Amino acid sequence: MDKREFMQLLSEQLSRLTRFERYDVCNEFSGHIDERTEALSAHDYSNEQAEQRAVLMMGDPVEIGQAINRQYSTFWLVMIVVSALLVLYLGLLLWGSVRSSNSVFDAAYAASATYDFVSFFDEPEAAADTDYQMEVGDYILRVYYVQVGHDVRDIYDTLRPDSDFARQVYLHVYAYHKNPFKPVAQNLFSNGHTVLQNEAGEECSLHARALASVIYHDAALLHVPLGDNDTYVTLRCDFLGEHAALTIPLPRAEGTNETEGAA
Amino acid sequence: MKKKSIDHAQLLVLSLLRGEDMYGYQIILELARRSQNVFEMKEGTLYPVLHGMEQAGLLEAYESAAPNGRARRYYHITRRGLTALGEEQESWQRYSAGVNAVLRASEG
Repeated sequence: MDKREFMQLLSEQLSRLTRFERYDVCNEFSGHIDERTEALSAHDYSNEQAEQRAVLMMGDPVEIGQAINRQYSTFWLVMIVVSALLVLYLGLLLWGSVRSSNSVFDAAYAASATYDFVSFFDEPEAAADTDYQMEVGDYILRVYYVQVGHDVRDIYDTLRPDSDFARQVYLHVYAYHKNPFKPVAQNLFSNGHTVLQNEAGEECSLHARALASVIYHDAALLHVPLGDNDTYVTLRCDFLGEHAALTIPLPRAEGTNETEGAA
Repeated sequence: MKKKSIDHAQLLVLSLLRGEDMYGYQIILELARRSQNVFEMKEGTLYPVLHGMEQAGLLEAYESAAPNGRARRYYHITRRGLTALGEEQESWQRYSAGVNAVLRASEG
């Protein structure tokens, strides 16, 4: 066996060592063999014989490698793998929570949600970017966008182009859990749990849910017909025994100024 | 926690390193010289002992260049290594004295 074979066999046994530790061990053995080879060369051995003799004096590379390997604990290797998995898991959770709670993302998401929900109004009367918030038990509902106009469809989505267009309001609502690591209940917006009410007390529930909803947040579009003189609507949520209501002023026709909401 | 006792090879290495820091090949030579070639072993088997003691905190290793530029890995005995050596040396001397006493008694 020559030095190269010895080093190869030795290195193969060092599975518990890091790449740098393995490099150090191999360097150490290589230096030892070289020094022994030089010493033997000084005693009438040819270089080749001296190296073979030096390798022989080292012993079995497999046994030695395994013995060194046993000295190194797998604790850190296991810890590294566990830590990597934990970081990955927390990263995914954080990503989800950032999507749910980061205001920059919220604004961007609200904007994209606005575009996702095609406007039903040929000529919107008024629209406003808003940030009304309402707590319902463990959840927070946020209203990002309010649009008022006259709809060419009735509330059952039947196209009625010849009728007097009904004045209606659309709300883009976004929900997430107070705990950023917990998902939103999938039926928070459905089954009549969240409704929009006009001043006359007429209620409509979910119109559409965003296709982009993920487990950490949910987005929905709610609408209700309006009287000609209505100035506000009420968002109501009744979920798991928790009740909450939020009065939302309607945007004025003159512009899209944001106005304060009152719970 | 029960303290792990060190074996004879570790005792010899610690004893050598108490005097000065050494690298593997030097330890082999010094061990053979001081024991008058009584302790001869496959040279590679020294390294699991050294690495085991390093992992146990009895030794520290550092690299230093030889005059010819070759990197050598020197071993230095730690405070914990010195404590272990003191305890094991005392234990070994008691054991050795006991064996000698028995042998002397048998001769007489």
